[in-house]
Amino acid sequence: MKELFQIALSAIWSNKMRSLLTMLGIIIGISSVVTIVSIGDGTKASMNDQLSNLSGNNFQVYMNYRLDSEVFEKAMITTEDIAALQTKFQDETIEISPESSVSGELVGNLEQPGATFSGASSGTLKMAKATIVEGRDLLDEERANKKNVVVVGERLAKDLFSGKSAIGQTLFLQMDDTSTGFQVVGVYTQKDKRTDSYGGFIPIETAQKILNQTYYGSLTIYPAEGQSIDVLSTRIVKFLESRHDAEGQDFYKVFSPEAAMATVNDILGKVTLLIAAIAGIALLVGGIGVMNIMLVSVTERIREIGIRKAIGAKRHHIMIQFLIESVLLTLTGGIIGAALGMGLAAIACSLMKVPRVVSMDAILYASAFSIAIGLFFGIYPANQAAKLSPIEALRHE
Amino acid sequence: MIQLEKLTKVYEQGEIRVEALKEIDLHVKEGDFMAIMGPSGSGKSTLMNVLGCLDQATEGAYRIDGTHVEELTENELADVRNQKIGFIFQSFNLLPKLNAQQNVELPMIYSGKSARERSQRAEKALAQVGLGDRGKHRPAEMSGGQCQRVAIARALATDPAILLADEPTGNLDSKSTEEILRLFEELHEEGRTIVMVTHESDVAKHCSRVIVIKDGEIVDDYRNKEGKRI
Ligand SMILES: Nc1ncnc2c1ncn2[C@@H]1O[C@H](COP(=O)(O)OP(=O)(O)O)[C@@H](O)[C@H]1O
Ligand SMILES: [Mg+2]
Repeated sequence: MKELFQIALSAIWSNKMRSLLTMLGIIIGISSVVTIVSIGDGTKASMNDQLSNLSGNNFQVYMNYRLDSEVFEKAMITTEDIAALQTKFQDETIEISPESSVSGELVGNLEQPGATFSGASSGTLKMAKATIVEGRDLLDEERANKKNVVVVGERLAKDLFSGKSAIGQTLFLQMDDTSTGFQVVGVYTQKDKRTDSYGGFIPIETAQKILNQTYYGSLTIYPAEGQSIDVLSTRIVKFLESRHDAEGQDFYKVFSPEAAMATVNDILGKVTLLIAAIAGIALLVGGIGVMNIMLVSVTERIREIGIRKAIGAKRHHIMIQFLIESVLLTLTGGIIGAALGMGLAAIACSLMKVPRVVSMDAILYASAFSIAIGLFFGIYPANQAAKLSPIEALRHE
Repeated sequence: MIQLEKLTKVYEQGEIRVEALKEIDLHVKEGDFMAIMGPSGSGKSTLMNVLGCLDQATEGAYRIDGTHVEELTENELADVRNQKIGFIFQSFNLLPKLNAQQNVELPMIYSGKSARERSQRAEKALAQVGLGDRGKHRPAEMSGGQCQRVAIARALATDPAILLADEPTGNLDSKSTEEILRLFEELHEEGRTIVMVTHESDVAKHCSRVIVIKDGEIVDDYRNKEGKRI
């Protein structure tokens, strides 16, 4: 076996240029597959990162906005509904918070003054993974009294108050033709800084007062540890429907980041697979190149095969000798291709600003795949060589 | 040692049908040094190729060392070529990229000998043919006579029952021819069984037994009384 290896190695080595050109097909094929799969993985990781930053483990139940207006009234989620939900699903949830927010334009010297202040109940900031960096959180007393106070995002504080402390300052939000003033009590920072508009938290009661509404369009539910989002969301929707006499009437819908993530992953996976399959065609062409060169190699060495057979080489000896040669060609090409592909992926990922996922799998698969290509495309030429009769091979000039 | 009964070999190429060997009966005894003579195209090489298990007879029986060759599978034939037969060609048939030592080791690779045993045996065989100091040389770096000796060393390496040589001196000058023939004589004296094709009666005089083939048939078969030297 070791000897057969040496024979194959010396055959490759004595035709360096030809071997390199043959490998090139495999190198191009493998490197493009590895590049594409790595970029796909990186994109997926970055998307998942954004989605999980955005929300973590939670889901939304919201009113179906396509309902007719008279039914819409009937479907509205009330404070009583929320209280009932909180009691009923006490053990299955960490937090059930209604959603309500006010949007408008900040008064001041800002390039893009658009801002959204979310209505917050007691646990909202914590659940949104927002941490106070200056000042304090909203107080229960401020919520109860529907005070116009706000905890603003770091960026907003910096841009609006140009470096001075924001605490105690008053900012104005222009909505339609009224302008409402809010006193800043705190500044928060959020792990995810990708949101485009300025953000802030005001007491949810204040938001409801400003919007002049008593119902809520949507709820965010944070399930307790080990709860299935699927099961819990269905139960909550059923519960709400029964409270509104609307069993099976499609009053409420569910959005879960987890499901969204699954959809995104699914689509990305399919796209990656498709492009990788196209790159795989390059591999196929490379494999055919290997087969072609192996056939040439066999033809050139018919006499050698004859000599080997004349002194006692069996069919499998010749077969293995040529298979090792083709596998060495493709495996070397595959390893070079994988290295090249990872290099290209690193460059592409840094240009696209997605995290680089170094997948050991890619290298393993690339190696395994190139071995398979070597075997698959080498078997025919090797068999052509191995089945020659010694006398016919010796007569060959 | 070797027993042929009504051995026939027919080459068929489309319309053309050549009967290269016609019902040959032949018995080669252990320790024989046999010359096969005959004009060109008489079937000498065909006979050697069949004896060497490189080619198979169309009809008839061939026994070597008690083994019925026509019953053997492809792999068993390879084993016979590897272990029972040492074949020496007119054109040496060495592998050009391997040096003398590696060429001699080659048959032992296929019989699965360890690297150490291979190199020991190869060194011994090379020493026996007088090339103990040429192990590292490639065929291109040696004379025809030296190449043929490497080929003989390769044939000897597996310690075969019989040496078959098809015009081993056909490509050599008279001095090298002389040396090679002397080598065969030495091997014969050691007790090796040798069958050698030649068309020069000078060469045949070295042998203990001569058969003459013509048109695929044995037409003469005699023993040399005057011995082995010219
Ligand atoms: N492969 C072959 N195909 C067809 N005819 C062949 C083949 N080899 C040899 N012959 C024929 O068989 C006969 C014997 O050839 P060969 O054994 O080579 O003779 P020699 O070695 O005595 O010169 C010749 O007539 C030759 O043309
Ligand atoms: Mg001949």
